[in-house]
Amino acid sequence: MTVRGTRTARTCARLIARAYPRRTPPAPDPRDFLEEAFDDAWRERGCRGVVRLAATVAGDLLGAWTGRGAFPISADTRPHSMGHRRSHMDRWLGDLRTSWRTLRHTPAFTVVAILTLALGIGATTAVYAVVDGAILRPFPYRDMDRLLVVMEVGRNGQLMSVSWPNFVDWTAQNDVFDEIGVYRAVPVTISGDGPPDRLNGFLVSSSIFTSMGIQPLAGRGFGAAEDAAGTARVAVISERLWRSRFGARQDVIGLSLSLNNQPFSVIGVMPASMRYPSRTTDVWLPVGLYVNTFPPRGAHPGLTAIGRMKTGMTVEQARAGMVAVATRLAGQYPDTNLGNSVVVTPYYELIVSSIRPALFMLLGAVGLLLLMACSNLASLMLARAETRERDLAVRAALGASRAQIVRQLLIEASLLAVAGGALGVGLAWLGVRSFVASRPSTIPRIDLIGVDWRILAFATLASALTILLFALFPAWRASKPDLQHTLRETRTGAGRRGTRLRRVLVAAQVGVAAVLLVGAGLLVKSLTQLMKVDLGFENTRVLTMRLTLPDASYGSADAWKAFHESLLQRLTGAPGLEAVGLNSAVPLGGFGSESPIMKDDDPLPSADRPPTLCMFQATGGQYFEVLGIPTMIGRRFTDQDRAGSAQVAIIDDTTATKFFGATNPIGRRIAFEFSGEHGMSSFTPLWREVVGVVRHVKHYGLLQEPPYAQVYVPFGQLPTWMQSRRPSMALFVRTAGDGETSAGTVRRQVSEIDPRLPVYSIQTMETYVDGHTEQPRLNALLVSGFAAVALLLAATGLYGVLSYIVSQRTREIGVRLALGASRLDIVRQIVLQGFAVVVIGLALGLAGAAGVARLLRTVLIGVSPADAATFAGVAALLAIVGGVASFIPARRASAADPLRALRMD
Amino acid sequence: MAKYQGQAADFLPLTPAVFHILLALSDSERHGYGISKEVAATTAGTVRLGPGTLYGTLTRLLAAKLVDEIERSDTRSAAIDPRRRYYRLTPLGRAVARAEARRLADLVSVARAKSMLPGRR
Repeated sequence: MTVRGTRTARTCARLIARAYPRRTPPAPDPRDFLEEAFDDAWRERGCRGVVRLAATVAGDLLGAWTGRGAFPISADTRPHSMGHRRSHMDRWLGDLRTSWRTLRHTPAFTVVAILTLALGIGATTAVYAVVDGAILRPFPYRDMDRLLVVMEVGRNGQLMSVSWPNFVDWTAQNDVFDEIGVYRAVPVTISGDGPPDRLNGFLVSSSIFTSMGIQPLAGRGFGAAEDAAGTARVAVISERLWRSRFGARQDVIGLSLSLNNQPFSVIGVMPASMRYPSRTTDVWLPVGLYVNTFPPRGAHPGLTAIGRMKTGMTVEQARAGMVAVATRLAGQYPDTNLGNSVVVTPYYELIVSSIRPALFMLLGAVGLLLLMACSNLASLMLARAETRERDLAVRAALGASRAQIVRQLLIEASLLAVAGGALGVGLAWLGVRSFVASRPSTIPRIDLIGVDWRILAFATLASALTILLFALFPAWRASKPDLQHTLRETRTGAGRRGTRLRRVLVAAQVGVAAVLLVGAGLLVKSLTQLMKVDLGFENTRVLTMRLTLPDASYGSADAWKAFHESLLQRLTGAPGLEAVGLNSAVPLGGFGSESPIMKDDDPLPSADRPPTLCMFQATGGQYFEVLGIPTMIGRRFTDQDRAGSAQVAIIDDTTATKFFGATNPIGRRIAFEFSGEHGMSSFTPLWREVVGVVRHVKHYGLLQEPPYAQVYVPFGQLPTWMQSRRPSMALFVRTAGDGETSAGTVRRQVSEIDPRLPVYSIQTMETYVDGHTEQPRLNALLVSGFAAVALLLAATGLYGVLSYIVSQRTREIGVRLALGASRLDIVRQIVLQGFAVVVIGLALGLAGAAGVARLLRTVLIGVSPADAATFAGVAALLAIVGGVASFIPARRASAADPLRALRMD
Repeated sequence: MAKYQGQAADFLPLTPAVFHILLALSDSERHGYGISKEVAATTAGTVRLGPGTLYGTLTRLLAAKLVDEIERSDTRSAAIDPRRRYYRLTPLGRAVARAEARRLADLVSVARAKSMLPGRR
């Protein structure tokens, strides 16, 4: 033997010795053994000897780790025997070792079981993580259940924002709230040190900070001084802004900022947990700065009120209290408030109510999937228990108690559940991460969604539950073998009782698959209905973006108009831009300016004759061309329609029909502005001539159709109200080619006019419209995914049980074939057996689906929960799949060799 | 030895691994690998004790005081480790081995009486 060989052998030995479980002295050290063994092996048989020894030792190593304590001295199994005084731990470890060995010997079953579990537990955990993060996890606000949002509601039932003078009276006259405040989004541009940027700003009352009960990181929130008119220009910034723009500097309090080209002083920094009024709020400004710009009673400048209810009050009492105040005000100010009331909603409800039905539906669907996975596994476990019946009977004959056998089987199931659960949590983590990364806008608190200890606890519970559901019953059944019967039984008769149970399980799986498939079908149909909605405009090759002109630099209507006119001039004809337009509102956006409207032959609206409402928009450039909104009759706006010339308006076709019926509206007059005192009793309508009728455009989301007339005015003839509160305009561009290039062109041109102006919310209209179908698409996608998996599980379950039946009856089939039965008869018999299971499952499933579909009513759009086509489609699909799953084993059975079959036992 | 007979009975019947180890130590002190080689030699290679089984069982035997451990320098393996651990039977261990051998001998007698094995009844 070479010296080098000896050294190699010893190195192998030392390495392997390290892998053995450590034993405290005086326990023996395997190193002694190993060094000499490797030496001998090398000397006698060289490399081959060492390799063979290493393989033997590897197996021994495994045994050493899993078999600790399992080296009894005595072979006596009686408990009092000295050699067999195994501890509890030894018994459990022994069972664990046996289970591990058993599972290793049936890799196909083990892999399928683990994957099925992983899928079921993973999907359920992922959905639960989303539901928990979005809805169930407690909010950080103090006494969240006492925060109530108050809005006004008009006589016609339409929700309106809060009028400032009304709010002032509410504050004085209510006995419902400890404190109440208002807020509204305001466009804020920050400039100065750093590039100009658009911030999410809100004007807020001081009580907003105290109601939420969140302490600032630095400085303070607003106080009573900031609520009054003439307050200093102060601002509270968010932690995110403090870190990103100011590098988390410690001297931020008192720092001067340029907001909307005016100097502001920072008085506080709010932590990231302050997510009110919006998760992405960058800066809070005091309401006192805006008090003098709010219009008189009767106009609703977009304010929302929120307050903290007094302790001990119920929401119902709060509602009644505020309605009483509103009624009092209606009596005091009949011109503006007659018939108006208030709507009081708990803040928590507002956040979750729109998303809760969808999330709970998903949780229900995924729970069904988990049940299916469990029943599939139970079926597999039953089949497995049957093949081991003999094995278990022998164990029982040798003295193993029922409890011992059940424990053994449960440990096996637990190993599967632990492995499946761990893999499932991994899948869930991946799924949740990619879901959050897609930034779905309809899910609240998306940044809080993740897999943390709460979710892990849920996954553990789910795993434990699945063990109980799929393993306990089969284990119990298998532990009570009829010894004599089993030990003598031939294969043909075995397992009849088990087969019936498995058939029941498969029928149940078919039923659950039917429920999920119906749900998926309805959601997909609902989605297609939604996507077919006629928007009224074209959204291909159109880019949209927003501009906000700060009051400080564009303080007059003329300056504001001049900027937009200059921009339109520069962009019209620019390379890559086919057409350019402006509008004060974006379609589907739901934001608009509302006002009463009348036409030329209408009597003046009065207190007891409620006016029709209209939604008016200021339009410029080639807005209608860009969005492909056709002109039905008349003309579009031209450059001639400017201040000083005749006041004109364009209406949509719905309004034309409603107001003018079949007569031609061109040349008729409408008015939605009224000069004089703001009140209906003394005013003069400011008439506009109707010069054109365009197609109706969906403005309040894809589905809502509030009965507002749609009116367009040229932005050169801004309504009076818009002249003082100049709107932030949206720019629309029809691009010839690449959207990025076109966006760059726009940014460049804006920067040439005013380098301090950011252009923001740049997106294609396609993306914008897709955002409105986001939740229905998500619902349809997820439930369809679950349904597909359920179908697969049901099909494999059916295939499995029929295969088993066929394998059990091979001899019988052989006899029949030998006696002259045709192969077709055999196939027919098996397939009919399969169909019987499918039909029963389908009947139960469709009945269940009818009930479940009713619950889906809130998330379905344009589809009835009892849609016959969907139900029929699902029945047909399951029949086909069931047929195929039955046919394969049937064909195999019919192809059996009768002679071989007869010889089988 | 008589005083160990009662105690020895408590250990019976022995597992095959234990009996082979006690037999290997009955005529000489041996170290771990030596025991394994002796067992393999006396059973013509049919029984091979790996280090895990061997040392797991030895630990049990040490704890039950059927086997003792001694340190002794081994001239042959001086190059590997001058101090090796050797094992030897305790009086109790010897009594247990004898008791098991007697038990097996009795069983063989019964088997011979019933013509299961050739040899005198």
